[in-house]
Order: sequence, then C-alpha cells, then structure tokens
Amino acid sequence: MKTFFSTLRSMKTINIILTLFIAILFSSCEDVIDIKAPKGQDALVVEGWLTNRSQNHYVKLYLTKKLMESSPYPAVTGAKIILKDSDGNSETLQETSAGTYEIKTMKSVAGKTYTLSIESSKGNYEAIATTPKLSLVPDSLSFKFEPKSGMYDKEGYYPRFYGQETEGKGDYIQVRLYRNGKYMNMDGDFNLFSDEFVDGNYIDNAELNVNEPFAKGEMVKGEVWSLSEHAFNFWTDIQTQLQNGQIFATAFANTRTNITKKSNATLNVVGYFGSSIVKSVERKVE
Amino acid sequence: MKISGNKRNQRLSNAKSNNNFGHITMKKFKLLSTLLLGLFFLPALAQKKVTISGHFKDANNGEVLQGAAITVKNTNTKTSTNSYGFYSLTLSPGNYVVNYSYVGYNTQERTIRIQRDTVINIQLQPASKEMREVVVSGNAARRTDNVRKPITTTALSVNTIRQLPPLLGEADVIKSFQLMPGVSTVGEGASGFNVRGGGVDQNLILLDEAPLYFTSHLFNLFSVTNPDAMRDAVLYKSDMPARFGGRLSSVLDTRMKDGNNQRWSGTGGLGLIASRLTLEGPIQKGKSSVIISGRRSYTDLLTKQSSDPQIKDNSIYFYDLSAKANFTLSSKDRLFISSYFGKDYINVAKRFGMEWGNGTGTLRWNHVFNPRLFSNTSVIYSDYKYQLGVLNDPANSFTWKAGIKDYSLKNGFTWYPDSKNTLYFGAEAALHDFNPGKAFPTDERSIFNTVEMQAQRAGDYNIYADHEVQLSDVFSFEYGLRYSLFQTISRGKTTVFDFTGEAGQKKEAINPREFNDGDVIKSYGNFQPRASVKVKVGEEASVKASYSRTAQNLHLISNTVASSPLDIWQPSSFNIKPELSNNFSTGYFKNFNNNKYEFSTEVYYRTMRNQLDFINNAQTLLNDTLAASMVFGDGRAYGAEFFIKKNEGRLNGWISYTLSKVEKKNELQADYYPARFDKRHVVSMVGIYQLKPRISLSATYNFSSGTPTTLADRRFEFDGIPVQYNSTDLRNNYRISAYHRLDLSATFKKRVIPGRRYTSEWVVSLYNATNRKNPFSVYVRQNEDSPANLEPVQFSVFGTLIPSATWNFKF
Repeated sequence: MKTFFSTLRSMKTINIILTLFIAILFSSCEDVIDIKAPKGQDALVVEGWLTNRSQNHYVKLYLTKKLMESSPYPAVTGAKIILKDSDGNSETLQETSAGTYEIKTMKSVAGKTYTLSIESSKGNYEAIATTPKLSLVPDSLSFKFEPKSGMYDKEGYYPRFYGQETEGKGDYIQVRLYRNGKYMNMDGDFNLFSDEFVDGNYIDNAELNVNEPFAKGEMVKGEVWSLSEHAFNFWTDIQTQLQNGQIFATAFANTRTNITKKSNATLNVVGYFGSSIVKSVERKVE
Repeated sequence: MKISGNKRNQRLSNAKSNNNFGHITMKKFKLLSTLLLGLFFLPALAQKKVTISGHFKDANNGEVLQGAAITVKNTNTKTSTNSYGFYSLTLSPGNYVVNYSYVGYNTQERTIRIQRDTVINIQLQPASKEMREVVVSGNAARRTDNVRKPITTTALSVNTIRQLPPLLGEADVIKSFQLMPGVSTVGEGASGFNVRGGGVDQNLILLDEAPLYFTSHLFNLFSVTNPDAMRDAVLYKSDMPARFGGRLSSVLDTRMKDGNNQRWSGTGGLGLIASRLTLEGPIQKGKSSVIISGRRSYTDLLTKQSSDPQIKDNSIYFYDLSAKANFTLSSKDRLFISSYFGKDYINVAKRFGMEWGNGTGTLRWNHVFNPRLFSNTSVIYSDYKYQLGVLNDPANSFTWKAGIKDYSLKNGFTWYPDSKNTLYFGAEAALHDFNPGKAFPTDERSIFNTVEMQAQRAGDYNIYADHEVQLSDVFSFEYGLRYSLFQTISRGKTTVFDFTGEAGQKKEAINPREFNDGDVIKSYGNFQPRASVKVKVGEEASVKASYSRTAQNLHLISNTVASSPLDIWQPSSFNIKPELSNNFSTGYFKNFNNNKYEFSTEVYYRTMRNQLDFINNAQTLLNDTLAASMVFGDGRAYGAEFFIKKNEGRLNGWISYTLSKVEKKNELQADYYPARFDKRHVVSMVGIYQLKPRISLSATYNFSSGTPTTLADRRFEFDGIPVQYNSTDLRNNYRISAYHRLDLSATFKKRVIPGRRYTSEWVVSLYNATNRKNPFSVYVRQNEDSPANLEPVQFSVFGTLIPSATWNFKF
C-alpha cells in the first residue's frame, strides 16, 4: 500500500489494512487451489503499442488459452496488417516471427490518429488510437528509505517522482519502472495516474508503487507514458483484476478493448492497440 | 455542462411543476386518508364495554416486559403487551379471573370485578432461582404467537444471544439472527445479513427506532450493538406489517433496556479483544431510571505489544456507547431519551487514518389518551459518517469524508377498540441529507485539489394503518396499507441528466436540466398494501398466508462482494427509481407439549423490481456521473424454510433449514442468473445444554452451499502481464465450495454467596472448532515466481480455530 495518488478511491488500501488485521486475529489466508474453470471459447488477442521511442514496435496476434493452460499461446500467422496515420502515411507490417508483426518506420506523434487494420484467417479487425500529449514530463526521481511497518511490508528504498502536471482535465499517464533495465511487471508495480484530483498541480514527491522496494546500488528507470482515457481504463482494468481479492473484492470484469470486429470476424477480440509519447528519467539508488 | 439559454424560463417551469406537484400531493393525501379510514370497519361500540389497561414490569428492576400475556380465563380473550409494556383489553362489565404471565416469571392470577375502565399495572417477580436455572429462550406470548398471530416474527431473546458461542467473546445480535431460517450471509467477513434473497441494504436495522446505516465494527467482524444494553430484538421477514417500511426485505427492530428503576446495578465483562460495562439505576426510585453502557476494544493495545514492526505501529480499535433515560411524567405519560454512538478508528503507521461511526438519538413520548388509545411520538436523529486520509506526508495528504444524516418525526397510535380488534395507524416524516463524498488537501504542499460530490437531500413521508382482527379463536387476520411519498430535493444547484447508450456500456449524459436549492427534483409515491391471515387447524396449530408489497428509497452503492464502511447511500432520484418488491408467503405452524416445542415451515416467493447494479469496471466512489454506470433489473427469490425449536428444558435449541434460490437479470444479462448471495441449502443447529446448575454448554453448527462468483475461463498476456478473460461474460458463473462451521462454548458460573448480589461467570469458546478453512471467495492472482502465469486462490477469513475466554460479572 503506498501512494494514494493513484489509489485515492481504491479499495486496495482498505483491503490491505483489513488483511493485516484479520491475519493477526484469525490467521486468515489465501490458499492456492485447483479449480474447474467455467466453460467458454477462445478469442483473438491483439497486443500492440506504438510509441515515440527509437526501438522497433510490434503487433502480436494470437489466440487466448485456457486459464490454467501451460502450453504457449497459438500464434495467428499470415495476417495482413496495415497501420495508417491521420496524415495519410501507411505501412504494412512484416511478420518477423510466427504471429509477431513489426512496425518498421512509423513512430507515435502527439495528436496523430493511427488506424490498425487486420485481415486474418479469423476475420477482419480494426483499432483506432490517437496519441495524447504527455501531460507530465518527469523532472526527476528520488528514493526514500522506509523501514518495515504497517504501510510497507518490506523495508527498502521507495521511489518518488516530480513533475509539472499540465493544466486541463482529462490527462492520463502511466509510469513504468525498470530495475537494472528489467521491466517491473508484478501486480504491485502498477502506476496509473489520472489528473482528476491533481489537475494543473506540480507533482512534488509523489510516491510510486513497487512490488519490491529498491536496494542501494540499483539503477532505476522511470518511463512516463501518455495515455488516452480509454487506454488508461484498459490498464486500470488489468490492475483491478490482479489486485482484486479478499473481502472487499469487486466482481471480476473483463478488460476493455479498442479492437473492433469488422466483416466476417469469426472470433471475439480482446487486447489493445495503443499509442503514447514516452519520456524517461533514470537514477541510481544511493 | 452549463445550460445556456433562458434560465428564467427554466426556473419558472420548475416552479410551476413544483406547484402542480404540491397540489396533487395534497389531493392524494386527502383522498388516501379518507380511503384508509373507510377501509377499516369501525367496531360497533353500542354495547357498553369497559377496558382494563396498564403497564407490565419486572418487579425487581422496573424493566418493561414486552410480549407478556394477559389471558382472561374461561373466555377466548387474550392479548399481549406492546414494545412499551402497555396492554389494553376491553370486556363487558363483570367478574373475571385474569392471568398475567411471562416466561421466567411467577404468574399472577387476579380475580377482578370491573364496572368501569380500570388501570391495572402489573409487576411480576422473576421465578425462583431453581426455575431460572432451566434455560429459557423466547418469551411466553411469542411462543404462542408462532401459532396465534397472523404475522410471523422471528425473535431471539438477549438471553439466547448471550448463550451462543461468541467470536472472541463478543455476543453478537446479527450473527445470532443468521442462524434463523431465511436469514443468511455471504460469509463471516460480510457485514449485515441477507433475508429471503434480499441484499444487505434491504434490511432496516433499528436501534430504539433510529436506523443504523453500517452495522459492523472492525470492518465486518462484529456487530455495532452491544447486547448488554439490549432488551429485545425482533426480525420481520418480508411479510412485515404496514407500520414498518422503508426497506424491501426485513426490519430488525432492536430495543434498548430502560434501566433498573429500583436500585443501582451493573454488568460487565472482560474479553480477549474488548471489555464492556453497563450501569443502570433509578433517578427517582420507581419512576425514572438511566442506563449507560459502553464497550471498547483493546485491539490497539494488542498491536502495540507485537515485536513485528509491521504490526506494532498500527492502531485499530472500536468503541460504542449507549445511554438511555426514562421518566414517568404521569400515569399517562412516559418520556424516553436514548442515544447511541459507535466508532471505529484505524491508524496505520501514523501514515494513514480512517474512522467511521454511527450516532443516533431518539426522544420518545408515550401517551395514554384513554385506556384504549396509546400513542408514541418520536423524534429521531441518525448520522453515519466516515473519514479517511493520509497523515504526515505533506505531498500526498488529503482527507475524504462522506456520510448520511436523518432527521425523523414519527407519530404512531395503537387503538384497542375491543378485545377482537387492534388498530395501528400513524404518520412519519423524515429528512435525509446525503454527503456522497468530499476529498480535500490537508496541507498546502499537497498535490491534490478539492473534489466534492453533489450533495443530496430527500424528504420521506409515510402514512400507514394496520388492522389486526382476532375474529375468533380459529380465524384472525391483519391487513394494512402504507403509503410512502419520497422526494429528492436539490441541495444547492443540481444538474440532472438522462443517460443513453449501449447496454452494458457507460452511458452518455444528455438533456441537462438545472434545479435550484430546495426544488423538488423528482417525487415517487408508492402504495404498499399488506395482508396476513391465520386459520387455526387443530390444537396449537395454524396455517398462515401473507402478501406484502414493500418499497425502498434508499440504496446502498456497493460494488464489492461484502459491503464496506466506505459504501455510500443514495436516495431514489432522477435516475434511480424506488426498489419494489411483492412478497408472498404461506406456512404451517405448530406448537407441541404446552409450547415446549415450536415448529414451522414456510414457503415464500418474491419478485423485486428496479434492482440496482453496475456495469463492468464501474467506479462507485467519488464519481459524480455514477448514474452513467448504473443498470437496473429484476430479481426473484423463492424458497422453503423449516424450523423446529425446543423452548425449555436442560437441553434446548433449534434446527433450521432453508432451501432457496435468488436470481436477477438486467441489461447485462437477459436471462436470470444467481445473485452473489444465492445459497441453495443452509442448515443451522443450535444446542444449549445445562450440564450442571452452574455449568452450561452450547454449540452451533452451520452448513451452507457455496455462493457464486465470477471467474474467467481464458487468459492472454499484455507486456508479459497475464490478463484474465471471461469469454462468455456471464456473471456469477462459478460456485465456491460449501461452508461448514462448528462453534462451541461453555459457561461456568461462580457460586453465589447468599445475601450478595454479585455474581460472575467465565465463558470459554472455540469458534470454528473443526479448524476448517472455509472459503469466503475464490479469485485468480499473479504467480509471484513466474509473473506471466496465474494461480487460483481461495480466501478464508478464518484460517484456524479461534479460542477465547471472557469473564462476565454482575452486581
């Protein structure tokens, strides 16, 4: 339980306090169990994100698998994928490995709208994403040592960040953290911010969530991604799924998607194609 | 969002519609009152009749005895005392033998010659100690009510509640009621209870007539009412009489003790997590008394003792305090002032604080207009609020507050025209103030801006009349009508919208309309007819049937499995229609062996309309456009309840079994699907055994089918993070495994030293004695060692058996 910046409304805080409390009194517990998952059918997954970073970008096409299935996801190969921007530029993606399609030249530009068209053996699909401007350019990162307490279940260095939030409501960002170059992707590493309660303010010393705090000597990179409201919702939905549980859990809900079915689409579709502007700051924990 | 154009016209048209509305209302009310009066046949009073009336009290402490029986020998005439201990019985002049009785007390028989209206106040002596050792549950009139009264109530005496195995030593009213047929819970972490397929917000929980809005301490683990200060608790399940209303599914009517008006006395206890003390005594002996009762948990002291820094710095505790005073102003007037205040307080590492609490106040005036007309007037205040915030971190600091406040005025009459008829009628008016949330920075360095949700106000007006007819020993019935008028009133400027859009998606706000402070935004009127009938079928047996229609205008906004202290209440409003329910039930009731055993079986069927739910991923807190995420649908619930109870003897207790189903449907799912608290089978067994005069044992066993939850069947990945996918999008598509729990307790009473009033006892208990990990919920989480993978987990609130010991005393 760390920052309230993002989780002002979140039941997660309450859940953690409660968990701690009932764990002391009643040894409440979570046990891994076997379940017989409900019946259902597979859907097409589209996973792709365009940014302004210099590296190459990819769109992946594959099918969902059963909840507890351990074999790899079945790739959807041989699709024809075209990316167009609102200036009339377009690019046909190349399948570099089974189900992985590369965006070679296009980069995300704030204000431009991108249309991703997919023609595949499963039918035709489309996604539209407009790149929002980056409403908070990070100035710097800092670290604060926190001993183990009711608020921090592990002692260590917790990151904080700084930057001016741009005036005008409706901005969203995501902060992705890297520990020694490795992307931190646990349920406790989500940092999704809306400016709903902080519009136009200087974000001073706001704490970031981490699943594991940092140790001295570690190199930390913080990437700030601009998100549209819809993309913010998509990430929030994933976060809710992963952080949900215990007494005040909300009912399970699917993630929202911006992929729509076009003609002869045979499968339902999940996933996202987003576009963002990314800026990063880096600092060593000392 | 501003409405441009002609504001003045806007205002004008608003004003006009208000006027119109007011006109209709007056007319409606007039019509209605005429109708109501006409409905009830007025008993012929031509023949001269006389009335005996009075109050019933415990001779030792002056506590009124509710539900005490008054029987006129060699006639079919009998009655019982109301919740203020008052009775009235009308007879032809003559000589009678009248029997006054109450279980656990010596019966009084009086030969009386009555020529004119006579007041006979009764003081009963508690039965001798030997008799009292025989454990008694329930009271006399209620036992026969099982068979005799058209309306079925579920009652638990405080004595019984205190004998059930407690969790950590805290006797719990709400948990005790969960052992009765038709009453269940989602799990031990869930606040409140579910009655006949109704949600937790569909129960009206009254403490001395004041509504309580959140009934749990320490999140959902203990009920807010302290049984030490309680006299009585009665539950009306779905077929409630017209004098009750406001919620769809039930009314839990709890009453505080009045306090000993003979001498000062006290009770108390030291438990593992809390201690209690109640003091009561006369202000003026025999005439007025006062009772003060307090309880505080020392969970905060326990956490301080821990060597684990994660636990040590936290402070978490609750307390509740109730006080009541009553004054006999004259033989016809009694005044009661009662107040309750309960609070939970949490502080985590001095960084995060949270508190919530209920406060209530009731001022009541009983007036006996004449021996046949009793009235009670109440002024009631109720306040529920919570607050949370970040402390000692200037940049992140904020405070968030929300709450609901009620001010009510009630006037109810009971008229006893003759021995066959009882009429209840009255009017109630309440003003509800809703503060759905305000969050503001508490330090100038804070990064937060102030956010405030639109406050709301509502006027809630009810009139009712209820006629109970004891036509003959065989046939009796009760029918009535309640009319509720509910108005949402603008507090400050309010803009309302219509919402349109695709099913299951967040809707778009259109047609903004603006209202000024005090304008009526929307009004809802609802007729709620009620009827119950009883036919005697053989010795101490009857068949009953009832119909009731109930309406509910306050709605709990909750999107979580168990309701939390942060959930807010919202009125029926421009976008939220009143919830309505039609309830049918019928049953067979029989008492055996001179009321030693009670048996009942009932079947019920209910339909519910305008049931509030939310689209997927709805944000229910601090969301000013929440209505855009609401969906409304229908519900239905049906079931059969079986109950057998042994009222007395060394071994007493009960077994209850409920077979039921509750389903709902809405725009998200067109076919009926099980509600979150749907449980097919629920079995409860309660046994209390008097092993030796000073040792009693008790056990409860509970079995219930698992509740449904929503689980995904598929998954995919995004940036290496696993994402779950419910491909059918069906809600509540998975059932959690069944629940079993056995609780045991033993009470050891200290030998009483003759001539001393002081007594004490030890209660040792084992909660969840079989050490079973009962599932509360099942969900899927990320695997910490391989973050791209998922693992399903079962969450159990109790991971172990919970032993406890409590020491209670009395002087």
